[in-house]
Amino acid sequence: MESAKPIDTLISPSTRLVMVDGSPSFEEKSCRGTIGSLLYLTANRLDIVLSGGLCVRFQSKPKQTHLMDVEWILRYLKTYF
Amino acid sequence: MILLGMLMLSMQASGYVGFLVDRKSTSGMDHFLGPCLVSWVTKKQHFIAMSTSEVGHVAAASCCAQLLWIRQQLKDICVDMGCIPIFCDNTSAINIAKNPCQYKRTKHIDIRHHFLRDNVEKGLISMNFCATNKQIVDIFTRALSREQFEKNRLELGLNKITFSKRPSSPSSA
Repeated sequence: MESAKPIDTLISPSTRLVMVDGSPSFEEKSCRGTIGSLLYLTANRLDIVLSGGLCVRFQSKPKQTHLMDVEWILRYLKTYF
Repeated sequence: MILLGMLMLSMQASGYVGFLVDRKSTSGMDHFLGPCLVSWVTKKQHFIAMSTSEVGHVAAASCCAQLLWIRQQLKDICVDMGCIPIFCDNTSAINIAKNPCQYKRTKHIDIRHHFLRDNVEKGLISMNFCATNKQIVDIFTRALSREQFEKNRLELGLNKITFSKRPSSPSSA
């Protein structure tokens, strides 16, 4: 994440997250910890409440697109820490 | 007494069919005590709504429940809030709460959500209109454009604090 490009918003208005979108699935344990930490962070960062909550809904059987969404949040947090 | 100047208000918004997997909507709300944000909620609703006004009505009902709790807490420290305004961007949701009639398109709404209507009648809560572009709480229910997102974030009270570097001492300069 050190070399990640900073961004200003969390999710684009055109983003529509669905369960099956054709993108490859991956091992779910790897992003569970990250999402857990994000949820913990929502206690004082209100701006990530919505997109954090969206990621939580896809915790079981996540796809590559959902992982990207988590990465976006991390990039955002890097910009606005 | 400083407390006399306090006003509690809450904003409530709802995103219709926010979640494409099960077509359920999202309700979001925030409660301000004076200028301070004291509580906030974003939640996927339990049921599938058939219209945006229904979503708004249900979101306002859960907002009302939270408000009554805060109201009770304040009463314990001898602060009476009077009639607390809820700001909603959906006029039909406001009208459902104000009008006790049953219409074809609203009669299926669950009885527990008419809790809001009851409290409006008692005068504990009042429903007011707030234009969509002035709804701060939209940040909790839908993905916004960058300008809107930054505006809402600022109004919620989230600011980026940048620490300037300590000025160098004259000896090192």
